[in-house]
Amino acid sequence: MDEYTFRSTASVAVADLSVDTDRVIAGVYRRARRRRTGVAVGSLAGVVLLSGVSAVGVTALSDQPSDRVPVAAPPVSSGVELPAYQMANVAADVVVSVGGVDLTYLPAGTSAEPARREVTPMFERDGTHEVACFLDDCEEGIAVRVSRGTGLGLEAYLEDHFLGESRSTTVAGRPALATNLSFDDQEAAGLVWSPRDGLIVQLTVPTDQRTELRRIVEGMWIPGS
Amino acid sequence: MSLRKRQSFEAFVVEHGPALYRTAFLLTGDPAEAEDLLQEALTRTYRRWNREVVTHPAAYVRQAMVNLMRNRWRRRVPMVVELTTEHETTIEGRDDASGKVEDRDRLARALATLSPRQRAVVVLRYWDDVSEEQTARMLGCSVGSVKSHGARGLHALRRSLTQGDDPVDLTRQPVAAALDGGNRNPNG
Repeated sequence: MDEYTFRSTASVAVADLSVDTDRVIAGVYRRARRRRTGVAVGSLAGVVLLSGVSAVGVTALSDQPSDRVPVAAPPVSSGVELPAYQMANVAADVVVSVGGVDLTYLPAGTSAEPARREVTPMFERDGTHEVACFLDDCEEGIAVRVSRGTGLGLEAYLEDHFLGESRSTTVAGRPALATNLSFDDQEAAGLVWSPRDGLIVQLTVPTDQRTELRRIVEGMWIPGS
Repeated sequence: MSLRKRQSFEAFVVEHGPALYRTAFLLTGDPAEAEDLLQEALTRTYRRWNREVVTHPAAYVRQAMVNLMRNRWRRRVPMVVELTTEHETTIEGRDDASGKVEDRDRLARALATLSPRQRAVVVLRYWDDVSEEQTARMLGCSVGSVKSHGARGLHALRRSLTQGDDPVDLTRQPVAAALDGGNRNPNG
């Protein structure tokens, strides 16, 4: 199959697929209104709760609950912050550096040489992402993404990077979101935070290595900090 | 949001919504999930629309959909499906020819066999005709990575659609015909 046959195949398959744009627009306004009037929209907590609701496969909150069809389990409860994370406060033996962030710890069996390392400009913003993935498939292994941009903060970052279910916590005293939470909602397999203005660090580990997340974070060091 | 901005947003959805919905379907493989994904991505876009000029809104929506999907793929949890009773009725009552529905299901199953990045690349590059550079930017990876994932994705798709999980469908038209393109090559 080449790109042309894929396109013709897909064209045939979706030819009759249509969407009611009026319904879509109404849905957008409903969601936007819900976020304005709901839980602290615009604040970090609001982002956490809303994304938390939407990623666990639940019927999200609605201002018109009677017209909704529940399709999955109830939302994971939230409200209690996860324990805070710290970062290393002294330089130590660096295992690998990503975008100016030093890692001094990687779980046993993880090569210190990333399988994939890429630097890309930000989409529709001034800045760059540097990502290092310790397996070729960034979705499967440990991945460290460091984003730098003038004025870049966590809220701006979250506008373009949607984390799904997440809970608030702190890393080195700065607001952070824990993502990819375990079913008991206590352990995360992802963390995103802004160690300083203009710098965002996002770390994800495979869910079966989620207990290593804290150790990796607490072995991180930013030279000059 | 001002009336003018609101009208321009609505005009954008009316003009680009159907195409973006088909992209969403190829990313999710399910009509209801596709609509949910599109609505969520448009909601993000709407928030930004209210504050500033979105230079390339359709690209921004695609970016939003891919980002949302990456998270869902990573978590491997059921998609959020925010259905209304109106929506449910519409889907069930949709007057699709059964062959078209089967084609869609078959393509969705084949796309589901791809890795998340392969799927995103295949959809963006070969369905939406997004350039390699732009696809790389949207996915936060290199152009080389886009090329390799695209090639592997197409190969896997061909294998899945022609030899794969559902051999009964091999003789079906028109998907099989489109796949062959008159030149069946088992190696893709």
